[in-house]
Amino acid sequence: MITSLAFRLTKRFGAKVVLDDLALEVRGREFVTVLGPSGCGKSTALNLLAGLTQPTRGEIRLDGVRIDGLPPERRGFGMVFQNYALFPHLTVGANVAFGLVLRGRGKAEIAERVRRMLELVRLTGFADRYPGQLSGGQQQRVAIARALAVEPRVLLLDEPLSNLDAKLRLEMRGEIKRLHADLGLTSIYVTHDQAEALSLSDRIVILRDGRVIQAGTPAEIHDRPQTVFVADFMGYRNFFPLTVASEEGDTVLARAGALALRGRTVVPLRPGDAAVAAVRPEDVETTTEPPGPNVVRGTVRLTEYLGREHGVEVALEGGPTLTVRLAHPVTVGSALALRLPPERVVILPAEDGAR
Amino acid sequence: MRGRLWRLAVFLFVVGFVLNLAGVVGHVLVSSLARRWFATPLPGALTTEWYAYAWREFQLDQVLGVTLTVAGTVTAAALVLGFPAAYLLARHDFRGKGPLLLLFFLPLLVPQMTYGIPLATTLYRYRIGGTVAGVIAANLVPMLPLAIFVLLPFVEQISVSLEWAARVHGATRLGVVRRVIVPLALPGLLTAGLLVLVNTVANFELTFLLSGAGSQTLVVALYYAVFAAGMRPIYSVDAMAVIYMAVVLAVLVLALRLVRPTQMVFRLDRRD
Ligand SMILES: Nc1ncnc2c1ncn2[C@@H]1O[C@H](COP(=O)(O)OP(=O)(O)OP(=O)(O)O)[C@@H](O)[C@H]1O
Ligand SMILES: [Mg+2]
Repeated sequence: MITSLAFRLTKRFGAKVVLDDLALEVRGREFVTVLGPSGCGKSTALNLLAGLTQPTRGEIRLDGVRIDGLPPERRGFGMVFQNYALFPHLTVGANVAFGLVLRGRGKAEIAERVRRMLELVRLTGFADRYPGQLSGGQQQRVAIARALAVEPRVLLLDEPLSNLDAKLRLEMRGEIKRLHADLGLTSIYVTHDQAEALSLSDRIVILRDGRVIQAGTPAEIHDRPQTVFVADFMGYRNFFPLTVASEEGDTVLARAGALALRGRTVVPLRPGDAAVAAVRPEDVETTTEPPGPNVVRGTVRLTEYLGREHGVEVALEGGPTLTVRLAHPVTVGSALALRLPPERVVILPAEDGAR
Repeated sequence: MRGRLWRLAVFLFVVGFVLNLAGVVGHVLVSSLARRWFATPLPGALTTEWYAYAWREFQLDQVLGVTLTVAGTVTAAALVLGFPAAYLLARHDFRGKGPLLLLFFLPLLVPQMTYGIPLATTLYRYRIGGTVAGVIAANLVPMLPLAIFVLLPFVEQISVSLEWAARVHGATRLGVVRRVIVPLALPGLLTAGLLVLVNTVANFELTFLLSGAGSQTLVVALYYAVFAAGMRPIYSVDAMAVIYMAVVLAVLVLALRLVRPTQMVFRLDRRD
């Protein structure tokens, strides 16, 4: 059981800086998710931690002791790869036993442990199959069992669910969460799926171009994004460029033409600042209030049946489009009055460049 | 219409080829068993004594021993040296890799005589020429590139993430080679070994240039039997040719028992 894994890493490939002084401290038994778009350096970060590639600069400390000089096999980590990376020439049982054999464990102990691991990932009876004879989800679970079998000091997971279909992904998500808790693991999980990050993590680290943009608990990241980039990642579909008109405490009023929105700020803003208001489709509601701040009118342009609710695209008076979720169906072309609750609107500093 | 003509042409070609081969091989086989064979469609009487004669006269026990020693050593050396080379070439990209590979594979492309003669001259200068070691060294010149050439794609298709998974879960560099790379490249090793083996047994030019008395392989001995001074009965030479063909066939059959290229590809899926 470890108490902390702390690292600060820079990685360059030629002139390209893939990780720019990425620093993080993970506590024992913590589940940390590194969330970011494709190519932001997530896999590179895990590979550096595992010792599979060497950092350009930086250090890794496990319980205060530097381990960045150790080869991968002496770090005592477990890793689940995006493409599973199961050994095709070995049976499921031998795959799971791989690390134990190399650690020189006794035959009986290995057999018992493999049995327990397969039971844990619900693959009892599959020990003699070959990976090629398993479904994607089963292979995934073998990969997890192989990583867990060595009782890893830190478990690294690189987008382990990205190759699975939606249903299986949900199932495996629960499975991973259960295993993490039951076995008291310390896990670093890499993904570009916000739902996965929110449901699994104690802490989320948002990475962009090799740099940490924001870190915090799922609730913090979800409710208080500090940048348009993070808000976009967290499901705020609607963004309106505005100018801050007035501020009082952590709420501000911002406007652009006829549109006036009151909302929360996470990062302090002053009157005159360029800002972006962000709101989630599901936070917008229909209203009978008269027009004013946070109440807008528009025409339904597109509707989409989503099962429990209806996705509706509304063209607002004055140009911008608002995407909302409504409980009741509406017809294309009809007029709608909508309210954007101030406590649900986040006003963020405008970024140079697009979101 | 076009298709049928085409198929007919292929059919005739195959029939012609098989008939031709059967004719040549059949003639040699019959001749090797003939007491004498002049101006008649078939020999009057058959005998196996030419085999005994050839065995004695051409010292075939010794020649056979050299042939198998050379073939075995060349195969083993080509694999032992070629595998690490193929691995490094497959895993590392560097500038000038393409031209280097081309240069490297040159011995496979150019006629062996062109470099065989200077090679022989050099080896004789170092007193390796004329010995079994010389024959082995010369044969390795084209066979090592061949082994690498065959192994390269087999190694390339082993995903690096498999190596990484092995490392993370406790394998040293050597452990990765032993437990992951070699087992997964086994079909390639067997295929490369087979090709090198058959090619070495059949190699004439280089072996001819490098071998002295006591270091001749079967093909070269056969050549000398035909053209060397002192008339030998043609039946005994034919007997020797049959022995040579039988050896090649035996090597091939034996090797194919171990390697069935098509089976190797699906090897992993087949087991259930
Ligand atoms: N060996 C390498 N040589 C050069 N550039 C590399 C190398 N490996 C990765 N990169 C670059 O580093 C960047 C980050 O790659 P990385 O694989 O870490 O991204 P990622 O966040 O895991 O993306 P994804 O979500 O698509 O897996 C990419 O732009 C990639 O092109
Ligand atoms: Mg990746």
